[in-house]
Parts: sequence; structure tokens; C-alpha cells
Amino acid sequence: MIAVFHGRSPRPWWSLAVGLTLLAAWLPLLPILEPLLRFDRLAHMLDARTAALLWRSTWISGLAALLAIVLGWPYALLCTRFQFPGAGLFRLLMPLPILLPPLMVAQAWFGLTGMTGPLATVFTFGVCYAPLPALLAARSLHKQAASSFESALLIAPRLAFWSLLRISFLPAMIGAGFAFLFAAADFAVPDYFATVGDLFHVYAAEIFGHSRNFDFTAGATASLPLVLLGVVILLGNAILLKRQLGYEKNSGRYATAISAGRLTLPILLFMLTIVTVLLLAPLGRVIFETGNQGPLSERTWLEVSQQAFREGIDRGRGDLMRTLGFSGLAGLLCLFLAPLWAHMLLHCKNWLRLPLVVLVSLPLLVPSVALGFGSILMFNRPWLDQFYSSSLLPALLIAGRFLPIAVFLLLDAMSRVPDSREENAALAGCSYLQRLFRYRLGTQHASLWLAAGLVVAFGVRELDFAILLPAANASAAVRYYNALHFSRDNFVAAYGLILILLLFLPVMLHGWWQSLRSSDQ
Amino acid sequence: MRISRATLLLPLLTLACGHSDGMSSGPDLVVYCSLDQDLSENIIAKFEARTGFTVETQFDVERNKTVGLVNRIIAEAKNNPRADVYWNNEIAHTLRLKDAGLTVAYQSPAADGIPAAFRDADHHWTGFAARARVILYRTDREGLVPEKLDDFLNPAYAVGGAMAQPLTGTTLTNATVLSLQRGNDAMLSWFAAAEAAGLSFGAGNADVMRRTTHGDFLWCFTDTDDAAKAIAQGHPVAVRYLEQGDGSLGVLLIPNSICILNSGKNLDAAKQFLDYILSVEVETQLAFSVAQQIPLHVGVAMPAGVQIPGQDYQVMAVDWPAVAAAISARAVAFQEAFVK
Amino acid sequence: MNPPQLALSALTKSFRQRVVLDHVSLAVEAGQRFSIQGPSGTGKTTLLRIIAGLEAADSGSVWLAGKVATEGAKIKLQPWQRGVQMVFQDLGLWPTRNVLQNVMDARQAAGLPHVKEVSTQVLVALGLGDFLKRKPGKLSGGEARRLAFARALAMEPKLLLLDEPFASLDPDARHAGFELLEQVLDQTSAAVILVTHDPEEATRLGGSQLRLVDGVLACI
Ligand SMILES: Nc1ncnc2c1ncn2[C@@H]1O[C@H](COP(=O)(O)OP(=O)(O)O)[C@@H](O)[C@H]1O
Ligand SMILES: [Mg+2]
Repeated sequence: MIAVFHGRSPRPWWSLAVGLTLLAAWLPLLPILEPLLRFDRLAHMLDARTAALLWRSTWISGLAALLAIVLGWPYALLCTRFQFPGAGLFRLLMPLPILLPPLMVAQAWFGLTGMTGPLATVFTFGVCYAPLPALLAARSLHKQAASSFESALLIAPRLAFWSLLRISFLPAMIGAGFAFLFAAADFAVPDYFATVGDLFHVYAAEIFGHSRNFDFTAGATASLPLVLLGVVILLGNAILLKRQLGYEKNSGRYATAISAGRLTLPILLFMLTIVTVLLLAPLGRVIFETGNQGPLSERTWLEVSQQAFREGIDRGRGDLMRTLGFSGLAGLLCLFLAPLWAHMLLHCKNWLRLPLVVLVSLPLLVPSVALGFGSILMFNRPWLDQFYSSSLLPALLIAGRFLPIAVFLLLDAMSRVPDSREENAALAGCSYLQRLFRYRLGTQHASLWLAAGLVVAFGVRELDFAILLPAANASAAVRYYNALHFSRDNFVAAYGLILILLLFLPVMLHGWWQSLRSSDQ
Repeated sequence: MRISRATLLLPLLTLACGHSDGMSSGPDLVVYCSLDQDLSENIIAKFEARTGFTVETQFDVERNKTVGLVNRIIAEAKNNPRADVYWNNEIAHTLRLKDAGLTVAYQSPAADGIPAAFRDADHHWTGFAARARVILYRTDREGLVPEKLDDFLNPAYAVGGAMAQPLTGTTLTNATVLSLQRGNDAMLSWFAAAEAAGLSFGAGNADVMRRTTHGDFLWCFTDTDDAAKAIAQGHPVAVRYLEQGDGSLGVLLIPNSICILNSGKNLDAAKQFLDYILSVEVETQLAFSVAQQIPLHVGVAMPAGVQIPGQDYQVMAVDWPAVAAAISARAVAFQEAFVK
Repeated sequence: MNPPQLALSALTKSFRQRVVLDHVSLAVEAGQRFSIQGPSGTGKTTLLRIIAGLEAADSGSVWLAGKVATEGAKIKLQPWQRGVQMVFQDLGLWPTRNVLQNVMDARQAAGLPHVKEVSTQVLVALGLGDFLKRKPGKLSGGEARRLAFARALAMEPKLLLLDEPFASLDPDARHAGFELLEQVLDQTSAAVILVTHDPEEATRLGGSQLRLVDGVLACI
């Protein structure tokens, strides 16, 4: 047995990865997917009312994805390819907005501007998910062949600028595709803007309503259109990625940043504006909220704020550690599973790729409430008691749910490594795992950690199945939402900030380390 | 060395699998609790300190409006029930559990002082620490504030007012109670008329309360716990009780409720827990909390300025089993009417 | 007398204390051809990049048609103002644009007339007539090289810099490469500087043969 896993064939490892994924993410889906086979339910699904809801969800998410591009793409372009004071800092800040819980951002912007309604929802999602197009665009901009840029520069600066736009357009689109997916599945933000302003509904409310109204199989059925939309977008993204990879075969030098020259001041102002919108304004508002009181209150802002932070640490510490525990474990699992999956997708037969993509991405596309109920039905058995109440179950579910993000990132990273490296290692008789982790991924550790980090961040934010699983119930997300609806606004703000800082820290350190390394070379 | 990174990860994984929250011997009591964690966790901790039991508590979040844990209890009951006690922050869903045959009878001596209207005739559940459905209005503004429900249909009142959609929580319970009194179709048209009169609908009670404190509305129809928080936060608002005066309907009181689940493994601990939660002491503690929950035991001390049901205002009589039987169908009907 | 097309005077450049170019001077008349040989890592590419304005020097100057283009660390004429084209070692094609667009984009951005006609004509002349709609990623190595040359030629440069264009080719392909080089030379009256480490290639070009060793340019 052990010998098999030390061997040179990838098969046992791939089987292990698929097996674990089936266990983590598909087994809980089975009881939920079963009613989909009953067609009478499906027929009822697209009446005028639900169609209207679906349409509203689609345009809200579409506009949000567009806004994410409009904010994220220029940001990435300027801070990766132009030299101006602070460019490095702006690069470090780029991923941070994705770590802010969208609901918190929604509250902050409502507090700042009083905005409500569908357009406020569009704005919030656009701001929250702008890092997705930004990060992917930044990566391709960073890796543009120097000669490609310079040969344009020999002709006209305009042409050189176009070459930047062209090389990063598809990655920005791929990022926007993900932004669309997340926005369409999110219930909390539109729900929030509907509560603080005029009421409106999105499709996710329909799903959520069903799962709440005692009938979660109806919820699962209702989510089918969103799932289909998700599959379409993921496939679209896969096609775009394949195209982009065709553009990025290059072995020469990477282009360097251009001095901003006379444009320094406008660029700096533009970047500051975007960082303010994406990060500083919402954070500032949340900090303000930690001590905010009604007009008749007699305590000072500082007193209230300090107490809020004290409570955040006193009451929430245990939950926070547990959350970091199972989310970290999920990240660890993905550190191992995602490379196997990505490698399998890279090497599998063409006809098998599509089913495998669907297999790995479906858990991300179904509502997480459904995943939670499914795992109760599957795993809550007397002989599985230890497992059911251990941190391993939420870790597995989080890993299974967010695995596709990690797989996608690694697929992208791995495709950039020439096959020859791995083939050389194979000829030298290296074991499969060495080939994969040392030679295929050897230069792509940044992507690997980013992938795992994203899984952890999404795991920390996960609420819906956290309520339903014993080990995840005492988690930071549950406490946060409880306090939120209990109108403990000061505590909520303080606790949210503590949570965010914990997530920011490793990302900033990683980015800093990266920049040190690249300045070394 | 042919040790790959993955082999290094394996021990880490096994380590993590072994880490199962130190519950190897199992807790002495498992409580599922829909009352806000902020209110209930101290009370439960006190119980643990006194009895020496370890209590595993599972909380719901308000976004699920109770139903997360109820559905979890029903789902878990299919294979491997886990909860001993369910502490609900309202009542209709507790009755659903009784109807599903998942509860067990227990007549706690501590419940003796609670009026019979809030106790199950078969002793499967007991109500305590209630919230009342009230109007919260701004004292710093001119304008008409309703005195009876049908004022909601009059534009002179409705335009400045708001209530939650009747999809979840106490608002759903309230709307179901009214449906039983007035008829299902009449209630749907009542909502349509209120909307036409200019009444705003929000997503939840806490939300309409918050918007009232922000000044978006002159008044809102909400629960006393939300109202108490708004006042405690220093906003210029006050409470009004609806449907008072001779022959009026009275105010709807929605109590917390608690029941023992029949599949529980710790019946003795569960009974002790009920005796404790239903005590005057806990009701007093909840009354003096930020939520100012209304004690149902007669003669419990209350914070200054809090009105006492039956004494300071009239209370509506409710047939709770009928409400529980109707609530699921009503929820679906309201969802189709409101989610569009 | 006209000033030379290109004049380098006492050009010096070092990277981290390592002197790569040491007071290099050279004059290239219009239409004149030079080849520069030398082992790899001696600074041949760096020299071409300084001429093209993609890199500044430490001291010394670059003159183009009598105008100062680079003076020490100051770039006086931007790359696009120099009338210089360069075929890069790794070609520098634009991957998202097809073969025809690669050439047309260049001509259009430079404001040259008859964009489509001339572009097509140059591509056909270099044997790429059948691949006009293909993306560079789908071309063979030889075809991609032709495209890089076609794009440079279509810009009608006064000075053409070729950075080891046939370095990585096998003997057969190199033979085809020489034919391509001759075709290219037939079609342009530009001054050409060819960097190579292959004496045969230098001979094919004709003109003067130079050698860069230890930062110093010497005649062979
Ligand atoms: N941007 C740069 N920074 C630091 N060193 C450089 C840079 N560009 C070139 N070099 C160094 O200068 C030397 C000459 O490089 P290059 O001009 O490319 O040589 P050649 O084209 O003759 O092979 C090499 O040692 C190279 O490492
Ligand atoms: Mg070179």
C-alpha cells in the first residue's frame, strides 16, 4: 500500500484526490441532488416570478463584475507596470479587499453614504471582488515578455500601452467571471440593502427562503438555475484561460516597469482613490463604528470602542481560534488536494476534462445551506459521532467547497511551467509526488500558498453551514452574525476588525516576502 | 532523502483528525438554542458552574430566524439525534417539534407560576420570558402613530411607518395569528392594502427598528426587545401598545419556549436544565438584560419603566397549537406574495 | 557631407560594477551593414538596446542622423522617435494579435500609409501569405521569425537591429534562415547591425565584421 503511494505512477494519488473530494463535497450533495431527478418539480421552476428574480440576479451580478473590472484592472496595470512612489505598497494592498466580508463592506458604505437598493448591491460586490480581476491581470502583466512590450515601444507608446491591455484582458475577464459567480450566490448583501432601504429580492433569496421554510430539497431544486449559470461561467473561464495560456508561452525576460514621469501625480491620485474606495473608506467606517453611539449616549467614542475591542477578544477568542483551526485545516487539505486535481486536469484525456471540472466545481455552486443539511443527513450516524462533531468535518466541507478556486489557480500556474522540467524528473526516476511538488510546482509556490490562503479566507467567512455543523457552530462567523442582529454594532465592528487583521497579516507578509524575493533576482 | 512535502503533511492531518474538541467523553447535556447567544450564553454558563455539568450549546443566527436549528433537529433525528433540549426564542416551531413527535413531556415545578396559556396541556413545552409586538416611534417628530392594527391601512399613519415582511420570526408568527382570526385571503389583502397605503416593508424586526432610529421612519411595528435596545442606545424613541381599550384584541405576546427532545441521552440533566431556565431567577435576569424580556411568572421584579402585561396593557389570547399547524403553509403563501 | 546614420561615441555601461561596454565608438553610414560577434554575456544585446533607446547608458552618447538620441544616462529621443527597428532574440511578437494584425498594428500606429496593402505585401513576400489570420502562438519557429522580420521591414526603418535572429536554429533551419536574411536585405535599404556568434552568418551579411570582447569593439 505505502509502496504504491511512493511510486512513480500518478494514478493512486489522483484516485486519492478524487476519493477525498467525493467524500468531502459530493457525499453531502447526494440527498440534495436526488430531488432534481423528479422532473415535476423542475417544470414549476421557471414561472414568471422566478424568472424575474433570476434576471435581477443576473444583471446585478453582471454589473458588479463589470465594476470589479473597471476598478481592478487599471489598478493592477498601474501598480505592476509603472514606477511611482508607493507602487510596491499598492501591490501589497491589492488582494486585501477580498478578505473583507461583503456584508461588512455593505454596512460600511451604507453608513458612509446611505446608499441602498440594487445599485448599492452592485457597488458593494464590485468593490469586494475587484481584487479578482486585479490579481489575475497583474499576474499576466507581470509576466509579459519584455520583447513584446519593447517592440511596441519602438513604434509608438500608444501601441505599447495597448499591448498591456491586450495581454491582461482575458485574465481580467476570468476574474470578473468569478466575481459574477460569488455575487450571484450571495444572499446577505442584497438582503441587507433591502432591509436598510426599499425592499427588493434576488434569486438567492428564493433559494434561501426555501431552505428556511422547512423544505431544503425545494431549496436545492430552486438553486438549479444558478448552478447551471455557474457551470456556464466556469466553462467560459476555462476556455478563456486556455486561450490566455496560448498567449503566454515565453522564455525570455519579463518586461520591467516604466517610469511614470510626468504622470506620477495623476497616477498616484488615481491609485489613492481606488484604495480608498476598496479598502480605506470601509475600514475607516468600521473603525468609527466600534465606538459609535446614539445622540443621547453619555460615553465617549474611545470608551465605547475600547470596550468593544475588549469584548471582541474576551468573548470571541475561543470561537476565533476554532474558526482558524478548521479553516486552516481546510487550507492544508487544499494545499495537498488542489495540486493533484490541477495536475490531473492538465494531463487527463480531453473528454474526461469536462466531467472532472463539473465534479470539482459543483460544491462551490450549490447553496451552502444545502451542503450543510446534506452533511447532516449523510454523516450524522452513531458510528461516525467522533467525526461528525470534530473539526475535521467543517474542514473537509470547506476544502471541498472552495477547492475549485484553488484548483483553477494552480491549473493556471502549472500550465506556465514547461513540461520538460517534469519529464526530466521522470526520466531521472523521481517519484510522482516529487515530480509534482518539486519540479512542476517548484517555481509556483506563491500560487500554491495563495490558493490555500484563499480557501482559508473563504472558510473563515462561511456562515450557512457553520450553523448546521456541531464543530463549526461555535465559530467566529456565527458569533459575528449573532451580534450583528442583536444590534451590538460596536462589538460587531470590533470583532470584524480583529478577524480581518488576522486575515490581512499573512497575506501582507506573503506579499512582502514575494517582493523581497523578486527584488533579489 | 525521498521524503516529499506531502508525506510531511500527512502527520499534520492525522493530528488534526485526532483533535475533536476534547469531547471524547461527551458532554453532560446538549442544548440547541435559538435565543441570541449574547443573552443565553451567560445563563448557560451559570448552570454549568452550579451543577458541574459540561453543556454543549449550539446557537442559531437571527438570519435563519430559528429555523436553522429546528430543521437541524428534524434532520438529525432521522439518523442520530443529538440534542437533549431545545430552547427556542419563539414558540410556533417548538410546537412543530411536538407535532413531529420529537418531544417528551416534563412538568417542571419551576413552571408552576407561569400562566396556563403559555404552557402545553400535555407538558411537552413551556413558555417563559416573552416579547410583545409593539410600535416603536420617534418622540422628536410630529406625525400620527397607530393605536390599532387597522391604522396601518390608513395612509395618514402608514406613510411614515414600517414593519418586517411576514416571512420569518415573530412577524411571521404574528401574521399567522392574524390569519387565523381574519382568514388567509383577508390577511393577504390586508398586507396588499397596507402596502398600497404607503407602509414600508423591511426584512426583519431589528432592521426596521434600526431604520427608525436612523430617522427613515416615524414608527415601526417590532418586538419589545428591539425597542429596548434602541432606547438603551440613546435614540429618541418610545413604545406604544396596540389594540388597547374595551373590547380590543390586545397585544400579542410571544414567549421563549423550551422542550426536552425524546431522543436525548441525558434526561436527568435536561430536567435540571429546564427547572433552572424556567426559574424566576432566569426570568429576572432576562428581564434586566438589554432585551428586557417580559417575565411570565407573576410578580417578578422588572426594570423601572417597563410595562407589565395584564396589568399595564391587555394581552391577546392565542391558540398556539392552531398557529403551529398553520405556520408552514402561511410561510409559503407569504413568500410567494412578498418575494418577487 | 551627411551626418552618419548612427554614431556612438565613447559609450560606457556597467551593471553592478561589471563593465559591459567600455568607451565604445562606432559610425554607421546610411545603408551600411555591420555584424557584431562575441561570446554570450558580453553585452551585445545591451549595446543594441542602448541604440534603440530601451536602455540608458552610463556615459557617452548615441547620435542618430546628426541628432543626439542618448546622452549619458539621459534618453533624449524616445524609442519610437528614433526610426530604429529591432528584431529581438525572442522575437517580441504580440501574442493576442494575428499575423496580419501584428504588421498592420505597427504600421498604423506609426502613421505610415497604405496600411493593409503594404502589410499584406511584405508578409506575402516573406512567405506568410497563407497564415495571415493565425495567432503567433500557432506558428512554427521559422514562421514566427519571418513574422518578426516582416513587421520590422514594414516599418521602413532607417536602421535595423537584429539580435541573434537565428541563434537557436538547427543547421537545416539555419540554412533557411540565411535565405530569409538575404530576402530581407534585398528588400531594405536600411543600415543593418546584426548581432551573432556565428561567423558564417556574419559573412552572409557582408559589410564590416566587428567583435565585442571585454566591453571593447574591435575589427576582425
Ligand atoms: N538589466 C540588467 N541588469 C543587470 N545586469 C544585466 C542587465 N542586462 C544585462 N545584464 C548583464 O549584462 C551582461 C551582458 O548582457 P547581454 O547584453 O544580454 O549579453 P549578450 O547579448 O552579449 O549575450 C550579462 O552579464 C547580463 O547578465
Ligand atoms: Mg544577447
